[in-house]
Parts: sequence; C-alpha cells; structure tokens
Amino acid sequence: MVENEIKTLDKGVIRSLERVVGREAVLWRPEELIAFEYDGTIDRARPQAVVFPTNAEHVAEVVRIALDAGLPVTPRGAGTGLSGGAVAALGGVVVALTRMKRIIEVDSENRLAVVEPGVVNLELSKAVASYNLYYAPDPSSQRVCTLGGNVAENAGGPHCLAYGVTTNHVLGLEVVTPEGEIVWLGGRARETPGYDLRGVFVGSEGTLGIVTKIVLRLLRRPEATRTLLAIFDEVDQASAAVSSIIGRGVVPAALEMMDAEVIRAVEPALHVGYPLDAGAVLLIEVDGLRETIAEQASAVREVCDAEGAREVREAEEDAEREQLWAGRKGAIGALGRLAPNYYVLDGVVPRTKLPAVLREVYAIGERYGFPIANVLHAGDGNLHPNVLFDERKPGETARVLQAGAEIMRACVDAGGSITGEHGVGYEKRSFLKWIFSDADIAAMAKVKAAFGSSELYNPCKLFPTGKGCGEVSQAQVDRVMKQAGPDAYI
Amino acid sequence: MSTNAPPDTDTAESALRPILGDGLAGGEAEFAVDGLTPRYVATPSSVDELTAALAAANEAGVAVIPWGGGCHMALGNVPSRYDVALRTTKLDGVIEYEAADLTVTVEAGMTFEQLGAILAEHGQFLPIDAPGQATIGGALAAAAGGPSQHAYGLARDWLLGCRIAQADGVLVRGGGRVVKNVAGYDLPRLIVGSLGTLGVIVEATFKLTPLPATEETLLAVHPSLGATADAILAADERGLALTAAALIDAPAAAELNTGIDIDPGAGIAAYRIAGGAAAVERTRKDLAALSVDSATLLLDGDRTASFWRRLNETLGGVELKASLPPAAVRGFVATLADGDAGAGMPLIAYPTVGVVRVALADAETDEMASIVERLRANAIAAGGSLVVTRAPVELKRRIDVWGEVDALALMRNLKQQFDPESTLNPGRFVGGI
Repeated sequence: MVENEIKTLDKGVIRSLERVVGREAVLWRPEELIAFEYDGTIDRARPQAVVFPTNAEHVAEVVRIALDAGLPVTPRGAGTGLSGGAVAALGGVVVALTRMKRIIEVDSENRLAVVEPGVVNLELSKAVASYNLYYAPDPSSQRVCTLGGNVAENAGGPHCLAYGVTTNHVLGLEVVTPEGEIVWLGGRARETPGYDLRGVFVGSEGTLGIVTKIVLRLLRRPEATRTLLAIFDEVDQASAAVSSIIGRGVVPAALEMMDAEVIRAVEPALHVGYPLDAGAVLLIEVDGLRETIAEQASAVREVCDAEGAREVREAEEDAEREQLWAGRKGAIGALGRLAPNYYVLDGVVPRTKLPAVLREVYAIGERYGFPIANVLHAGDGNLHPNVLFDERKPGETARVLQAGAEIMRACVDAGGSITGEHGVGYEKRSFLKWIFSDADIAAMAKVKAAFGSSELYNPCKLFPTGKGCGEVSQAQVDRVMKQAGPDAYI
Repeated sequence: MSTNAPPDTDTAESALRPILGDGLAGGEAEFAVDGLTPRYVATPSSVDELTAALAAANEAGVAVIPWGGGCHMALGNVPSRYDVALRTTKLDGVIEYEAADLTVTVEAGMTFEQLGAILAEHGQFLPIDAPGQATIGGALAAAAGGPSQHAYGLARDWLLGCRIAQADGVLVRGGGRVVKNVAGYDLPRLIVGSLGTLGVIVEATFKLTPLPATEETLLAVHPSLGATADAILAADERGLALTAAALIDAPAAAELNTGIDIDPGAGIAAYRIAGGAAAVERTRKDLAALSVDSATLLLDGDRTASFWRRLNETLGGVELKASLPPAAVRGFVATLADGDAGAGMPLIAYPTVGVVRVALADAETDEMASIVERLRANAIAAGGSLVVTRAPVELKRRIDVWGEVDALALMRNLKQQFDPESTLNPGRFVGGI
C-alpha cells in the first residue's frame, strides 16, 4: 500500500535538520508548507518539511538525515518549473536552494562566472553587464528562475537557437550526490578527462544530485543587434517561413512565433504593436558584426516576403526592440486574459514538420473544445501550445491533460520529442516510453544507479515507473497525516 | 563470465566464428594498440552481427577494442587485455538526411570524408575537426576536435542522438533526431569522449550548419609566443567573423610549410575568416589593423581548407594536449618556451578555447615522465588538465596518460553498470577503467 511508502516526519528529524541549518531555515508547520506544494504545473503534493541550506556541506547533511529517516528528498529552486519537477511527489523533505544565491566569482578574462544555485538567471547577466558580458540562456521566467533549476532542467529560451541551451554554457558543477558526497564534475576549462558527468548531470532534473556551485560560460555582447517583426495572415505561412529562413543558411539569434490567439492576449495587455487581425507573427533577432547582421536581416526579409508576409517591421531603437520582446516574454502571462487557466505544453518537431503539426494541434483543440494559443521557439522546432481552460468546470482538467497527451503524441509521430526545455518531470514520465524503448530507459536507470540515486531520491520524476508513484494523491497524504497524530508532520 | 586468465584462442574463435563467418580474421600488426596485437579482427557486416558478436565476446570473457578508422588509437592507457579488434567499417550508410532540417543520421563506420562529401552537395557540413579517414564513431569516442571549436563548440554540441551497442550486445538509443530535446538523460554527452568503454557507437544523429559563403586565412607573425597569444585574444575580443584561431610556433610552422618566414622564438597567429563577403572584408581589415607591425600572408579559400586540416593533424612524437581556461594559455606556453621541456618543439595552441598541443623532444622515459608531470602540474594549477595523446608504450607504463580526475568513483560506477565484465577497451580509460 501507498501509506507504507510515506514515512512520518517526527520531531527528532526536524530537530536534526534544525541543528544543521538553524531553526529559521526549516519549515514544517502545514500552513508554512502550502506555498511549496506546486511548481508551474497542475500537479501538487505537500512536502513534510522544507529546508533552506546555505552551503554544500549543509545540503549533504540534510540529504543524509532525510534518507536515513526514510524520507524522500526533492530539490527545489524558484519553483517555476513546468513539468512538476519540484513537486514533492511522495512528500518528504524539500531542499530549497534559494538561499544559496551568491555570485562567487566573475572571471572576465576567461569569460566565466562561478555561482551558487539560487542565483536568479537574469541577475547573473546584470552582474556581468559592466564587463560587456552576458549569460545567454534566457528562459521566459528568467526574472525569477534560478540557475540551479536551469541546470537541472537544461533550460532553454528564445536565444538558445544560436547560442545553445544551458548545457552548452555549463563548464563545471559542484554537486551533492544522492549519497551525500560532494564532488566536482567538469571544471573551468571546456574539456576535462574522463566521462562527461557534467554533461549527463545537466538536464537530469534533480534525480542525480543537488548542484551547489556552477561554473558558467559568459558571452561577449554582440557588436550589433537587429530585431524584426514579420506579420503573416496565416499560421501556415509563418511556419513555412521559419523553415525557409533556416534552410537559407541564416541562423538568427532568436526566431520566435506567436499565433493569433497569443496576439489576442498580448496586444490588449501590453500594447506592443502586434496587429490584432494577424494570423501569426515571427519575432526574429540577428546579432553579431554589423556587416553580418545586415546580410542576415536582408535575407530574412526576402524569405518572409517570398512566404507571403503582410509586413516586415524592423525595430530601429533599443526601446522598440524591447517593446517587441516584451510581447514575447509576457505572452504566457497574458494568457490569463483569455481563460482562467492555461496548460503549457512543450514539444519539439523537425522544423519542416511545423506547419503540419500546428494544424494537428489546432484540430486537437477543436475536438476537445479548447482554444489553444501557440508560442514557439520556432527556429528550434520547439512548440509551446497553451491549452486554455477553466479548472472550476467539472472534468475539464482531466480533459485538458488528455488533449495535452494527444498533442505530445502528434509531436512524437512527427519524429520529435516530448520536451524541448521543460523536462519530463512528474508530468510527462508516462510519455517517455513513446520515444524510448525499455532498454533505453534501463540504460538511463544505470546512470541513476551509478550516481547512487535511490527510490527515495526525488521520486516519481523522469522515469515512467517508480515505487508508489502515480498512486499518491493529496487525499492519501492527508490520510497518513491524520493517522500520524499530533507529534508527526507530513 | 570472465576470468583473470586470458581466454584461449578457441574461446574467441568459437564465440565469434558462428556469428561472423568470414568476417572474423586473424589479428594483424595493423590493429596493434600500444604494441599489443589482437588475436582476431572482427568485421561485422550489420548492426545485428555487431551486437551478436559483442554479446558473445562479453559472455566468453573476450576483450574487445572497437576500431573505426584507427586514427585515434594512440589515445589512452595501455590496454590491460586485448583479444579482438571490432571494426565498424562496414556500417557506413546514411540512415536519414533531412537537408531542410539540417540534421543527418548515419552509421558510425562512415568516415568524415564520406560524410563531408554528402553534406557538401547541400551546402552543409558538420563542424567537428577530425581526420578524413576517421569514422564518426571513432571521432565521437575520442572526442575529436580542433580549432573550429572557436566558433562551433565541441563534438558533444553537435550530437543530437546516438545508438550504442552495450557490452552485453543490447542496443540502446539516447537523445533523438530533433535539434532541441531534453527528454531523458543526455546519454549522447556521456558517450562522447568515453573512448568506447561504455558501448560501441553504431549510429549517430547530428545537427548541421551551412558552409560559409566565403573563407580565407590570415597569417600574421609576432615576435614571441606571448605576443601571438595576446594578438589572438585581442582579435577575439572584437567578435570578428572567425571560425578558428591558432598560435603556431616556429618548429610547427616549418612542418606545416606555412610559406611565411619566422624566427625561432617568434609565433604565427592564424585566423580562419568565414562568412558573408562584407563580414569577411571587415574582419580582414580589422585583423590587418591589429597586425600592423607584422608580416602577414593571406591564404585563399582553397588553401584555407587544407591549411586547417593539416594544422589539426598529429605533431608527431610524444604529444600532449592541455585544456585550460583561455587566459591561462599565454602563461602555459611561456613556461614551455622558457624551460627545457618543450622548447624548440612543435607547438600549436587554440588560445580562444584554451587548448595547447605540444610535442616533446625524444628523451629517456624517466625524463619524459618528469616533464609530463611538471607540465601537468602547471595545467592543473591554471585550472585545467593535461592529457598525453600520443606516447610510446614505455612512457605510458610510467604515467597515467589522463592524469587524476575528479569523481573517479562515479566514473567507475558507470563503467560497472554498463560493462561489468570490462569487455570494452579494458584499462585504457581514466583510473584504469
């Protein structure tokens, strides 16, 4: 039974945790835990305690105390993840890294920074701006999300098209293994001898350990940047243009797409100048040498014109550029204007399949009766369909999840993947079998075993099976809590 | 099962002959690794044959060294056992090439030359510096790379997915065929640079990039290696349209026959300029301004390709590769130039990416070992590492070519998980893995 999987958290364990990190750094009262029940997704589960360590040694001790007590451990950054990765699926101890937020070192000569995992993504770029450097991966949540979470999820963002996702920017990691050992993976140079443990750790979604220091590459700010907005009457034209731009040999710094539904949410809220009657817009940015971007910008214009763009605008001033981007970065948030809830999906398809897959996405939405608003990192073939719904209507959440599954299936059938940047997490682990065989998943389990990761370590994430996973609901957690009595906390 | 005693000839023969038939031949010196000649050379003609042969070898305790083009076989420690060379040469087909998506899936035995020709028809290429005869699988296993990483990054950044035959013959896939994908653990990254110790790569999917519209190479002579490194880093600060930059010392310049005069102690800065016509012209001008006091030579597009290919070939002799934080290159190179170690020997560095390659003068094994240890200490002190990429077996028996590594316990666990019988490349990787 599931109840056996959930151990109670007695006061002795709480005292042990408090001895390590201090009383003010351990939360265990039910009312304090509510904010830690969820991340950016639909799934929820309440942890039994949340601990805020401030250094690697404390992280290691906390991990050992929890596992010795038979309690699950779930790492957590800012909780902005979009696959349920920070949800304490089986309760237990959440290790929140948000108080480890020092930028330890900026080495401008080597264009690298050493940071703690709780540093907010955008804060790093701000801190190194005076050196004319920046940190390239820019998830939409960059004002809040932490770099540790970015490492766990191998986060992306609009500018990853030209500069690569998080893994391309991580040189080294200090991690606390699931057995509580502190080790370094990678280092300060681009390559280190031995297996690329750094490479396999990035994107492992907190199932192989907790990162406590990160060595990140910084990029020099480009000499010049140009941002274009291409407006199309039809979604098909816009998605065809995406493929043509890349096929033409231009790799823009960013190539984003928003459909009519998104424009309908964004424009009234943010007034960024997207035409309300457009079928879709492409936001295209090129950067580099002035000469290079002049060539690229004219190539982009030519392609968009040939694909039937109604208009191609170019931002002349920084303020205009920022305005065009404000629409993109605020897109998901603006969706709240269209419906009480939206379910963000994350799929990838080969770029040439974008037109067909988008048509399929709309068809699925129609079948289920949900409007779908699409935001895409189109240059990478990375779709974010947002299913708009109202969770107060009975049965609607379940149908949304079903529609989401069908959309994921459409991506897989087109030769794509179930996630481009949000991770598998809790939410999509049952879809993993759509793209990997049992043998493939067994090979991943070997990696997990090599890191000493147990069933209690960030349980129910990434892997399709897990002891007790998929069975625990909040109701069950509440029941165990009652049984445990006043001296135990769940 | 496996035993410490080497299996007798019949074990390998009886395990592999039924599967491979004529695809199993006697070992030849051509397939020797560090002086060890295998008893057999296996050349499976399909992935199925390869996996069956590997499973049988694993079962029989037969040690296998995967063999692609044989270009990187100098890398690694001396094998602890070596019974069979497993060639991937016959697995050389294109599985899928979607030029419009800029992705390609090929079998691992295809050579870079073959692949390059196929991609060039569509104006595309895979920007991993590897010898033309190197196979896809071999280059990935050895984490081949060179000066192009200045603009294009490392091999691991281009590999979207791969299939490997594990030691027990079970095929597994990691990654996928799309350019962005975070589903599951990043097994492709784990495989790149693992020297065939976790599995035999049988298939790889890459993202591709368009061939630059125009290319040329500028060579500029500077009075010292330090000044050369400074010039290259200064050029890099400007974000010019460069796809590679290299520092070349006088002995290396002589071997490369660069066509430009250089005094002993001086250095050549080589810049690979690539892009659209306007960007190339701008870059050429900016570099000329940075090199006003230097003798310069411009190589055209045709000569550019062959120049950079030869540049990344072996320097010969005992060869070392240091991977450093970029700003440490200058200091590391200076210790070579001032001391006895590499002075007067061919040296090529890629300062912007922190790589220094140097050949050592022939000397007694003891002396070479102490030079390696000293240079390695310098590299480590600078925040990097040093690998001996080519050495005679006597030297390899004295030193660990990889040096000490962090997280060795985790690496051993991985090896244990993927290849518990130590069938694949035993003893050649870090820490005796």
